Amino acid sequence: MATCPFAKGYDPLDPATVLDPYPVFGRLRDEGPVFFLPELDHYIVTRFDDVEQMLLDRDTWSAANASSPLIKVCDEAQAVLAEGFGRVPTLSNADPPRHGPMRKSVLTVMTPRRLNALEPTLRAYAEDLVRGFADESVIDLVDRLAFPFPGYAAFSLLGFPDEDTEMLKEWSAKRIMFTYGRLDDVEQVEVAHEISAFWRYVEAHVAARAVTPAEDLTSDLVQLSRAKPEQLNEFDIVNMVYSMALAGHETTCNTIGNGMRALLSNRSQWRQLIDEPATIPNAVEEILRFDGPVLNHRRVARVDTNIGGFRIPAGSKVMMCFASAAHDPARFDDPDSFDVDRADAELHMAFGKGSHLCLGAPLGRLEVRIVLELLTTLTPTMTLIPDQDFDYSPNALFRGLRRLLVAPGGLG
Amino acid sequence: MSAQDASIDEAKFEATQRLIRLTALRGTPVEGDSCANCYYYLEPGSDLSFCWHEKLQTLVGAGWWCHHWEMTDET
Repeated sequence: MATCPFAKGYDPLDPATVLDPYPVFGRLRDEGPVFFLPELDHYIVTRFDDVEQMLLDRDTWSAANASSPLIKVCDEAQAVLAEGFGRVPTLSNADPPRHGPMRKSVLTVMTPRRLNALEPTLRAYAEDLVRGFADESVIDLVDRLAFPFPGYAAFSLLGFPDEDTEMLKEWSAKRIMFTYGRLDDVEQVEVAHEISAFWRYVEAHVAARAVTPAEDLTSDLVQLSRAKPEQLNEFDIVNMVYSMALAGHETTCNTIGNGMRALLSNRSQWRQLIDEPATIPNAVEEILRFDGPVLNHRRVARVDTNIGGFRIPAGSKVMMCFASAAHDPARFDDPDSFDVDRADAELHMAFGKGSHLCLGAPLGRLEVRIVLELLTTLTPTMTLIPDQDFDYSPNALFRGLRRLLVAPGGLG
Repeated sequence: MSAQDASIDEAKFEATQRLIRLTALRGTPVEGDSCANCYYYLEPGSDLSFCWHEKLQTLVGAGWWCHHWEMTDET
């Protein structure tokens, strides 16, 4: 069996790649199905069919490394985390037999019925935000909508107080950089302290809900643990809430920012949503495909295996490039075009696939749909500020704009 | 028409393939979960029934599974 070639000229954390990863993904896809990246000690898989197969094959591929730091953590930072940071595999980075009960616990409390009941509140909150900036000349859409709206949805669902939003936002950004970015040793130590603080915050929150329940997901999980202690305990709940405190908003924020950039850069597509609002649900899928919020996700081989005829030894770490798979011409016609009418847009794997399908997918879709409905109605002449610099968070997992300047009422 | 005269409806075949791909549908349970104990399985206790999840809306078997599996209210 052939030995895997090296990925020449690919660094997911290179500034040019962070800004626009799609050209290098296209080159890698053309050159072969899999590459090895020695600098990160990961294999890279870029083609749709291979990524799909990995997601569906849990016998071969473990999710255990999905949330592990990409860059080695220095000893001093590890020592900081060793003091009371108790995270264990829980949802996205758990395998059977732990994964099933944890996932079912979330499904018990986050049902479609709950989501339907939540929609009016979410819509009212988002509408307030949009009306708040609709008459301003220039705003940062990430700051005024893409972050606060999903943040509100996730944090209020979990029961975090509104006044903690900025702090949670800061912590979330630092968590992402620690796990999926490239920090030096000094930065790692500093952020390790912040991560520990975040963890202690979640511990305190869960403990408070155990004493005084409220109308939130955390309290429901505590109730479930009392009804079914064999399925869930308080430590599990802390892990789950800690996971959801990041996963619940970061990706939706990115989808809104990336999606609005795509729509406002393709004016005819934006006008179509205004003229034909029934297109919006499919537009949500096309945004997720075209410039989704998750660049890569990881697995580790449980056994010796192969991808595309190349041997992958047991224990190998592999990066599945979701963003590349979504632009694979073997799966999508003219994949680099943004088309809100694309018939097979929903075949993207932005939410993963199989047993680890993102639990937040229905909520994420709902939030993006609400945003598009509101903006097409209340700010139809919204325009991108020309010649702005686009700044993406420099990490290997999430793809998201840190700023998107728009003129809500148009230019001039 | 005899069995030998029947032809494959290519459009239906492709639609089936698409459904399988879109929902990660499989013919075996996953970790003890299957359509039989899924919220969207219309007739619990039947070997075959209708799945009313918006992405399926089709006949499924009790022992099947897809990634939209969701526990029943009784679970």
